[in-house]
Amino acid sequence: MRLRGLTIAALATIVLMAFAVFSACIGRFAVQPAQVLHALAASIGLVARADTPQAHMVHSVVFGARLPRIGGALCVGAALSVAGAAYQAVFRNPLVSPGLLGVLAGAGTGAALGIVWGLGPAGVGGLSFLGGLLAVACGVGVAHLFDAASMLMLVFGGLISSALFTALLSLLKYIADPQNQLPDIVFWLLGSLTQVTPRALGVMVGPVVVGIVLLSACGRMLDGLAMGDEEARTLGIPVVALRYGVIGAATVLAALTVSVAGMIGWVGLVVPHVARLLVGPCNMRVLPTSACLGGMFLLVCDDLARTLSVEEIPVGLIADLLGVALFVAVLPLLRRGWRA
Amino acid sequence: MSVVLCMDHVSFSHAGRIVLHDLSFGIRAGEMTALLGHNGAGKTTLLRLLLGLTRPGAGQVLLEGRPMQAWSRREVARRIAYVPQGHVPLFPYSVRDIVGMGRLAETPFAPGLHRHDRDEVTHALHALGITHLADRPYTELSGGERQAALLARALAQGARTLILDEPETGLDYGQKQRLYALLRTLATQGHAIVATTHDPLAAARVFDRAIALRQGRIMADGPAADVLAPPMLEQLYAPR
Repeated sequence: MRLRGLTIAALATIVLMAFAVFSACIGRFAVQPAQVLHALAASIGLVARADTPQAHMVHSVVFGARLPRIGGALCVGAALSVAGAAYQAVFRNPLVSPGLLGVLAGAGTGAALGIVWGLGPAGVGGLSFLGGLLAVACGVGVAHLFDAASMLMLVFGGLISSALFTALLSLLKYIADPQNQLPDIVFWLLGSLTQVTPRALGVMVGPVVVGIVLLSACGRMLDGLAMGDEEARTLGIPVVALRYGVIGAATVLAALTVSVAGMIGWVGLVVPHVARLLVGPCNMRVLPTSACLGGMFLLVCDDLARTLSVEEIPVGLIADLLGVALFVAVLPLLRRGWRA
Repeated sequence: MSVVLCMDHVSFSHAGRIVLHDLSFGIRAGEMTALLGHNGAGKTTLLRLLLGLTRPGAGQVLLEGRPMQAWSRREVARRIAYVPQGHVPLFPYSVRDIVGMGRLAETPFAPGLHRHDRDEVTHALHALGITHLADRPYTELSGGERQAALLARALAQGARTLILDEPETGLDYGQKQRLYALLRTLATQGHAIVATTHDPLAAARVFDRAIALRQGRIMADGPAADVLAPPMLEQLYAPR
């Protein structure tokens, strides 16, 4: 049993690496897989670095431009998908996306505010992250005003918070300078990985990995939660702490993705379903599988975004389109699994 | 027989209405106790209090002599298992997964069940005679099979007190007899069994003790055959 889990994890890692190497090869400047592997091996000192102009070119393309993006795509896709899967488990609802409590609307608003204030990329990202957290805090706060224990109230709180921050976002768009700022806001909201710098990636990797591990560790308790709050408590699960802990971690992950890559929404709803189809309903498998699939999915989307046309297409757009296609494709299979 | 769970002058009101009024009784190990009463008599509230899911307005619930709120949820789960009425979760967990949830209090963060936990699950499945259902989705079972899975989960939990909410609902005659036989076996092994029921005739035959609730008060508490004799039953279920 455990061995099988390890084998699958190892296979998934290999597939993920293969995807990443493949992605590093494609683009305007064609690179051979062997060159990528050589550059990678050289960078960690396994082989001597070739001192030719060609090798330098490969090195700068692979390390300067493509790998940060690839890492960004993997992180963002994984974080959104695992956040979506966690939200679906906590709310016992397969139609929930990470945006349920307003994190996407809030993060979008924060980013727009940063753009209107004329901040740099780091400032915009930071404000966006804070905006996401603030929106969820608002949603949870509204729920607390009435009945904190009720999930319905949390959903209502999220609706209210989403509506509020969407309105604020519209206001910011309205007052933004239509020549420079408005296009920036619109482009940001479409979602893009062009801004991912090695530094931004470095900031992101740690929290994303920790978040995925923490959420996956709660997988079995989330299964218990599926039986209903009271039953879960009789099984020994600290329901309220678990719910807020998981919402907190998933929110941080989702807000991080927006602060790095803008709004890429659908991934978080669709990918967990595909994961459940593959590994069944148990969250200790669904959560890591979602992370893995989500990373690959967004990487494919980003490859398409880079290569489909001469002009880069926003990856959020591709992810939405592909996500819809994927959802329609798996919907007939999903219906068998649900009670409905 | 020792008292494991005890209500000490417990009252409970909800939205200004008194649901339970000054209840005192003890649940003993090795004894099968039936809770009866008309709909709305407060049976469900009483179960929730016994499970520590809600706090009494006055008085206290004592688990092994300590107030319920002094125990953590995990500690309570190791001592009291709950068998709810069969309901269906959205996601198609297998019966083995469901029964495995009984081990959550032991290993909440482990990626999978330890060998010892898996043994407990296997043992519980076997005790209920549902080993053949282990890999079936819980969502596709019949009412009786679901009941059996939930009971197996309670056994896997390893608690010495079992609290069941109308366990005979949806069972046919044979399933009921097997359920009662199993509960009797467990009681003989020293488990305390508490079950709400809507079947006083079966309860009089099967249970050791009956507690009759009427409008939030204990109307009678004693040997099941006495409490559930016809004159008392008429009073118990008389129109209010």
